[in-house]
Amino acid sequence: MSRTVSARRYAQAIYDIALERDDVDKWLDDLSVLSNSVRDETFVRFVDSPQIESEKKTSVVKEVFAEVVSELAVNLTCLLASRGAVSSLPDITDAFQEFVDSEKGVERAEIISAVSLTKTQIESITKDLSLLVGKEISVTTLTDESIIGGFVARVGDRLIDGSIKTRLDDMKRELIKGT
Amino acid sequence: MAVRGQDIASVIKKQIEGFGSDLAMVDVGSVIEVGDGIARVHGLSGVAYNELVEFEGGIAGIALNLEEDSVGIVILGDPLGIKEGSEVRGTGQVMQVPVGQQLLGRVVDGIGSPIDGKGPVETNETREVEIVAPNVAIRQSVDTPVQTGIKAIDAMIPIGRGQRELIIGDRTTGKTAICVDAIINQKGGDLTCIYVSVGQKVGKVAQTVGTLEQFGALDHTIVVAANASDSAPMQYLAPYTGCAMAEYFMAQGKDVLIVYDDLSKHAWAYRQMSLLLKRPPGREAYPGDVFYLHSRLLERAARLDDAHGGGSVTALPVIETQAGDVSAYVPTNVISITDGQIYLEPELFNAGIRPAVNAGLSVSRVGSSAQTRAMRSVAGRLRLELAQYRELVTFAQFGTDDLDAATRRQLERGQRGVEILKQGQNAPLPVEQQVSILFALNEGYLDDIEIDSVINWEQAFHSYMTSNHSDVLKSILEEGDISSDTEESLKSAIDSFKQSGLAS
Repeated sequence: MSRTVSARRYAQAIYDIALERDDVDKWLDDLSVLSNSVRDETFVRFVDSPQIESEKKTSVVKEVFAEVVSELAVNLTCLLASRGAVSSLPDITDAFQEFVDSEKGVERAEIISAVSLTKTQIESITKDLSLLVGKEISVTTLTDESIIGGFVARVGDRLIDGSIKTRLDDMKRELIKGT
Repeated sequence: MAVRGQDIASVIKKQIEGFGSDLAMVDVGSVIEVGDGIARVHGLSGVAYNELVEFEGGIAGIALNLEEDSVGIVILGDPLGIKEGSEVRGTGQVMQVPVGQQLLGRVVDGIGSPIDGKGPVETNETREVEIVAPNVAIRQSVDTPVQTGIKAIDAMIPIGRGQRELIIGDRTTGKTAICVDAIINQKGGDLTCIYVSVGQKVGKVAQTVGTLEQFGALDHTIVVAANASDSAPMQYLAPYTGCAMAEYFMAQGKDVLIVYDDLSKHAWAYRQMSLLLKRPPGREAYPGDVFYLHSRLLERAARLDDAHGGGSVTALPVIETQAGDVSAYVPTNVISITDGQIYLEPELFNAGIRPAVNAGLSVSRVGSSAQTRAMRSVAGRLRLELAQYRELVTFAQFGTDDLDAATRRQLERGQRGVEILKQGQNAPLPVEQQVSILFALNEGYLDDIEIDSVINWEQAFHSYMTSNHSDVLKSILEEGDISSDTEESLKSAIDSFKQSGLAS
């Protein structure tokens, strides 16, 4: 999920370019490569450092990425490097993904359960969720034992909490209030 | 109270059985930053303005700033449990507070939870804190008085039911005392009272509650206290909470008197919240909507028409000025919203004229139509005589020897009028007694009394009248007018009092 307005603006610009040239999928690949490279802290410290001249940064960025990503993606990284904003690449990637999803009419959901779910369970949950939000859903599943039982589904900013933990918490509060 | 284990178990069983199992979709977000009682939250894209949200651990908050990529939330309660990354859930509801008869005699905090140690408030009813004021079609004009029991106010600055009368003055000029006296005077009457204390010292609130209890006035009163030690959002909410409680009674056709003590501190609390929410500061660093903050609150004071039950909410907002500066931002705002003001002056207070009401600067724009005819007939002359007295007194201070007899008589009458309007604290006077003493003053019965002994004369007069001529007082009260018969018997009663020798 994108955290900042600026990341969304960059993503919007990239998305417009991608649509013009009809290479959305290529951009998705490139952005995931780039945001993976941002996980390397030394790299980020280098390109976001105000002490290093931007010419040096761009030449390094060009050298590193010219082989792996498209020319425009390299240009994007150079632009971000000159503005000291390379660290927001993951946010831009997320925002870009959101644009792609909303174009396709797909919303991403996260299902958290205490034990890993079977395929049929996931399918039936997905079906119900897509009915509820009126869009196709692509799910990622996570397991978290602390919720004890049931499952929690998160679609965008919305949440369906059917976990035993929350039910117990609610009951605890209800009982305290009732006395 | 002995509670058997079985009882508790059955209660819990019932609660478990009735426990909601419905699943609903809620809006969620995560805290980006938290500090100074404000949380900035990412997500919550579907949250509404003023919606109640819930942090992890059940801490409540109100969504106030809806921005493109974040939501600014004020935290009601202890912000210590909220961390970066904590989950926040929307509730889909706006703020509600408990209301009802059961709140009478209780002291509650800014969101209606009891803080007097008398156990939970047994009421199931709630009301929304922020509602739009009743519209013009369901209102009617003011026609019934609120008797404050204070001579200076009931005679010269009368307050009607449904009116908003500002009480303004510097610190320690007796603003709270007037409000408390007005509440005490409603004992045994049909007015329900709500005292909202905002940003006051806890000790002062405890003292006020103690006074109300001592005079038996707590039984018809709800005290809403958001003290100086409470968070700014609590202080911000307290007046609206009190107003929601008042509206509950108004909707039932009852009459309510609500005191906001004081709105200066309420504006300060709102200023703090607004600055921390990064809303742009304006004059005196108040946000742009500080006028609306008070206008929407005071507009909720109303007198409903008979088709809607005929209930009323009378508001007495209090404003504390700094060094008598009534032209500061918040005082001018509230003066323009209200239907008049009672202006208290430190000079008068220090000169021993208490309540220190400045009769020249104080006005009541609608209350005079609510005055009884008896009071109107005596108060009209009093107001005129005092106005003439104030004009004369400035140049008469160089000596009264050379003045003509008429002027001297006016001065003497004015001095006695000022004496009569003095009144002790926590000693409200019934309206019929107020009328009788002002009648005596107007008819010149006090002209031969020494100024120093006017107060003693008045006291003796009241006790004489209540014990020997209660029928006269009763007819003033019941007729609401001084008929020629009543006038005769009043005059003869005063004559017999003066002859009896009790006067000296």
